[in-house]
Amino acid sequence: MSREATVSPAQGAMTIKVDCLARVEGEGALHVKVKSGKLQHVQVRIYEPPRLFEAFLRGRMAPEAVDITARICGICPIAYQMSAAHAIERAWGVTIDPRVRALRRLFYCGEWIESHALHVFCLHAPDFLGCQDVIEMAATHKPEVEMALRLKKLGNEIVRVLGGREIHPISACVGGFHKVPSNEELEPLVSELEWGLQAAEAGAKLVATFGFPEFNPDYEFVSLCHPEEYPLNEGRIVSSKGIDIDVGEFEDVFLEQHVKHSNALHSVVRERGSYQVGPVARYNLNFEKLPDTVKMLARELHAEPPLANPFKSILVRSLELMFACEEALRIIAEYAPPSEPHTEVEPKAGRGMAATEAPRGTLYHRYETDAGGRIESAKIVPPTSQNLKRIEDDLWEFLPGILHLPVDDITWRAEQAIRNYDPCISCATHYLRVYLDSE
Amino acid sequence: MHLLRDALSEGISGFGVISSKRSKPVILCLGSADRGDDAQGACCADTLARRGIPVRIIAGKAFELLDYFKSHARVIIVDAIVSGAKAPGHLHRFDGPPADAAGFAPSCSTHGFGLGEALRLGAVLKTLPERLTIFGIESATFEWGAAPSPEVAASMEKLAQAVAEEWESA
Repeated sequence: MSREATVSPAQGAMTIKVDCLARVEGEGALHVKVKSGKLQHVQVRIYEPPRLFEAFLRGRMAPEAVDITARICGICPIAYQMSAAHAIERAWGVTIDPRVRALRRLFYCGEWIESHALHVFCLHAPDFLGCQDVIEMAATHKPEVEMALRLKKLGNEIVRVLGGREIHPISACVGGFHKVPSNEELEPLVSELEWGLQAAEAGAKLVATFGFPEFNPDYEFVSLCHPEEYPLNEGRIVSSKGIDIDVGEFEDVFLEQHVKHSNALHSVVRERGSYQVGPVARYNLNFEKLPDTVKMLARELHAEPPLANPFKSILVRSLELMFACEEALRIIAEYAPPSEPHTEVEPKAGRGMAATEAPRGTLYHRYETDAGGRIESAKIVPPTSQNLKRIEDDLWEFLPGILHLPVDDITWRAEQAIRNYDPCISCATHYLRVYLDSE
Repeated sequence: MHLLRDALSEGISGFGVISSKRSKPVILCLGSADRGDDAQGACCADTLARRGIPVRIIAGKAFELLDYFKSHARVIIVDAIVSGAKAPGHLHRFDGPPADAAGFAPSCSTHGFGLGEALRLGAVLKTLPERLTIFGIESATFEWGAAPSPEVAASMEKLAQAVAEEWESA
């Protein structure tokens, strides 16, 4: 389908090529072409080689998927571990101990804290402060950068305590954990989490002072929804335009499409189009389940839903950072070690699907196993490939309004619009280059 | 691979890091094992580990370097070098003032934040270690899935030996 957007006729011929969009995870390129004042095409081209995880999972014992898929991403390995474990548990009819379930939420909070602190303050905030990168930002905002690094370390530490180590954690397994922490091992996290909660609040207040361009697309937000909790590990898949399904129906409603210009698939809602997953989607669909402190701050900052401005995703991430610290404190306060670290599982033939909320959005896994428990087929739909089509649509809508600006400014804003999504191209297939051609 | 190579990794644990006054430096081996000459960090780590020398492998998480800079008085880094001034296979060694290290190791990270950026950020935040030594072989290829170039492969043993001697003499 060809699409055109009218731009200022005074714009004339223009060519912009930016070889490397920094501060995103992975390798790809953005191509934008403008001809005679009209936007001709916008393509997010992911040229990182396909990673073929789904293919080489076939024939492996299903529990291995927990550790294998974690290697897809160095930033969100827990998301992969959680989605894989839950999907296999569903396939094999495994019920986990409620205390293990709570520990998994705590594990996930660690990843959210680590990932959100990195993106909000080190990758995204420089855009709003007019800095090229976090190093330039550190010269004028040293306390904030130090705070971000301390928050990130806090997240790492939670992951290390539960996962065995902070990078490529190894303790999660189908049925629970190989080893669970004692109360004494969790206790040292408390004072740092209490600091983190205060720091996240201060961070959100700072972020709320940033200037945000007016841009409010008609999104279809998609997120897990749980009746009682802000979603992390489970829930129904719900959208702002009427989807309300069990995770098992995911592939009936969402379709992954090959596109010529990308090694990553694009996901769409069947017969409808692009949608958005991630913090803004979660926030809009689950605001009432946030702790009162976070809701109160959101109201104080005039950031209550409906919130459709993707540039404000940095504010939502800051509020989610606060949530993750508070939730972690709650879980630790109520924690008692389970009698067994994991439920014993029996390999069998089965088919199971699960979705969990990675920091960047909903991560779907599906596995089919044979009678011996080996994987016959696997499907992984990461959040970034679900957002790629939506990122292109954002640029189709956002760029025409700024084509009157100098080329460097257009490029800067285009990169910023992409970073709104904290895209992890490593997950979607890695590196983003921006090319803007006008004639 | 990391499960085997770094199975007992200690990482940096706890919040009140007290490892700063250890007499031995921490060795940080950087880079992807699957990108041509970028594998020299991982290969060097393998060789050192076999000799019983503790190493940390850091792949794609350069922000973690700042934790090590803050918590250790002495740091040895192994990473691929592209200076353009020497032929592939040349073994570089930097042992100057830590504040000058960023000029020695400008970034070529595909993640936008690599060793060069970590060194520059550490300098701004004044958290660089007291002494910083960087070793690396002049590199030729970073192709996905490629083996190290013959020139770099031929210098791997020399690299590991130089790092081992630096660590043992500390």
